[in-house]
Amino acid sequence: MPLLSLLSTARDLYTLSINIFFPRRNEWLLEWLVQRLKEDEGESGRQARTAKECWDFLRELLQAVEPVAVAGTLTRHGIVPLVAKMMGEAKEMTGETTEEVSELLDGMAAVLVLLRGIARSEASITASMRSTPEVCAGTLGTFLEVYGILLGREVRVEQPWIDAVVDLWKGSIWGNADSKKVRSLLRLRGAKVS
Amino acid sequence: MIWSEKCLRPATTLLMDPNADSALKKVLESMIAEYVFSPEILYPTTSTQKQAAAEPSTQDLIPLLAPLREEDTSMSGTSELVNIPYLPLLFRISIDSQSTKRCKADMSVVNILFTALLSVSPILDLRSEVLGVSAAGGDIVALLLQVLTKTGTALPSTTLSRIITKFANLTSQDPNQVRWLLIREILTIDFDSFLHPSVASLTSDLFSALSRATPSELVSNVLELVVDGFVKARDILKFVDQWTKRLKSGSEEDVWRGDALARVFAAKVESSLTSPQILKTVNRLREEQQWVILDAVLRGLRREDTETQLLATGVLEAVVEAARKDAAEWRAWRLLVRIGDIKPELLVPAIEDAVWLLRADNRWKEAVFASEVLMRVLDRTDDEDALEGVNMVVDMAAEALEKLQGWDGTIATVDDQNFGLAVAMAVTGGYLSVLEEIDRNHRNKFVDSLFQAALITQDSSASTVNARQICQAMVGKPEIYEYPAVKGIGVLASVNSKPFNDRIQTQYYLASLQASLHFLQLQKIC
Repeated sequence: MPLLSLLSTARDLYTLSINIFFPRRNEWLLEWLVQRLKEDEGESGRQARTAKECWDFLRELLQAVEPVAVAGTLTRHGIVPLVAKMMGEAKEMTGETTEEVSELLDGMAAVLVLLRGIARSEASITASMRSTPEVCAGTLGTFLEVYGILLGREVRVEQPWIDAVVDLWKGSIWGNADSKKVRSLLRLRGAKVS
Repeated sequence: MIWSEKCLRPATTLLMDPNADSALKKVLESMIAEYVFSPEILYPTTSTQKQAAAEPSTQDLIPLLAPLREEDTSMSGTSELVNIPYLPLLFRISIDSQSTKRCKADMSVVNILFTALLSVSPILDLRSEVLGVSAAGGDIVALLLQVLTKTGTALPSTTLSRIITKFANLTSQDPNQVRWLLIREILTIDFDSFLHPSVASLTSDLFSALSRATPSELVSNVLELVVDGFVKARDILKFVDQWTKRLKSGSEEDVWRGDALARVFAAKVESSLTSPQILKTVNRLREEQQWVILDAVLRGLRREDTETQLLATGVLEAVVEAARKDAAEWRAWRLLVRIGDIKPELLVPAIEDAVWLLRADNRWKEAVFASEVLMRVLDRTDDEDALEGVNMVVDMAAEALEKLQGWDGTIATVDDQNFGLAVAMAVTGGYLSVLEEIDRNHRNKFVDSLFQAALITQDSSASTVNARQICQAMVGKPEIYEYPAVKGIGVLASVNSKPFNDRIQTQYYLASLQASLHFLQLQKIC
């Protein structure tokens, strides 16, 4: 079944509107949502990833679940590939609507900001927010294209959107062996020049 | 490589967008500096080579800039399409990334950056042998060169020569194809690229292109830089030689005869030549009857000792003798007016020629300056012939004012219909005193005609000179109150002409009141 059609049921479960015994309910919901968002293909997957309510629900679940459990889920599924997919789909959406794209980027940024906050108490989350430079560069590039399109249509671009995507890229190269090499060479060249 | 492939193009697009967030722009600039123009990329090493021994190269940089590469339009013949406005921005970022507070980017590195950036367009690629006939291409290269000037960096002379050959279109017979913006930037960076003795053919091409050029502000800038170049090379006389050569051919409207060049040259002449050199040059130019250059030289004289030497050695006298006999050239007469600024008495021998010119048919341009020569002499001497001459001038002017047409204020368009306006402008500008000295009937006739012409003047564009403007300027001048006859005639003319422009009357009476107060104050002080 399409993820979006199950979302209201999932929400009922989360808000205890459905009265059933369900141990570690929120952990399960988080795992289910992240996995479905990441893995659902086709039109239903695209619709789910580009729906603000999915990102809002994800944020609520992240707040409700213990950091350790969040880290486990993100280690298994990762968040960056999900953001990367969403960004590509958001770019396609700009042809039809800019308002929904803005809302979507708001939702995405809120999730990433929250994760950065949780990462302060659970270090392994930082690691799970990293991905390969290829994926993060692709996400950043696509975001810059979306930014350009939104600017062209006089839509306000919010600072948290920028910070969220730039941080993803920085996270991908932080500690990277090549990046270290570049920095050491920069220092070497700087010393030579001065 | 990954960042460049995915992000470079959208990043440059955003950097060019004035509405993009400035904080993001800073981040993007630093990313470009780090991932595209890093030392590791600019100084590629082999597996056995140490980084310190590496030489700058485009080897790794050009592939990184590939996402910006345009379609090869030169192959399809549509080479006009060059749409890469972000190149100057990238060039600035790249230079900044290689500069420190203490040390500017090295010329060899700047050369690498420049070559690599141009490689993004097949039309601009310096490595290609295809000539850059594209106007936009040449102008984009000029914008890149402006970055060099702003950042205080430089390119090797070989690269500058290559740019000139490829983009300047110096030898094009179509003046619009010559890239003056580019030429200006290259001259600003290194005038030797064009003017060094080793590139004589390029110097010659530049002068030929200037001869074909349509005068404009940009071309005037280039002329100024050319003159500067010769001044810096301590060889301004070589420029005079080239100038002389170009004046022997060409058209009346070319840049060599224009006021812009004379102004630029005049500003440099005295600081570039010693007094003996000036004397020698003036003598030579007189022999060759080069009135345009002589005019520019005399216009630039400020030192008293140079003027004294010119007078003491009889050089100026000789110039007057030669110029007054050249009735066919109005510039010779303009030169005489200039000499009148130094010593009006020298012009006395020219009075006879001036009167002859005024009587000649269709010599209106020369007549304007001949009139001024007469007024200059009368202003400073009691010469009877000059007085007769000026009487004649004001009569001719009065007659011309009666058949007045509009005038654009340029000497090139002076004729029998606007001669009166030209004389009236000269009188208002500096010879109000001669009106006081001439015969009353001539004065009345001239001033009446001028005020009548002002009365019938229709409002016209600001670029056109008309009698109303001249009258307003005349009555607005405080000196007019020093000349009772002129003042009286002005009052009569303005009162008699009832429907006369109110502004002139108001202005006249206000100015009159001011002058009276001023006069009373002076009396009090005395």
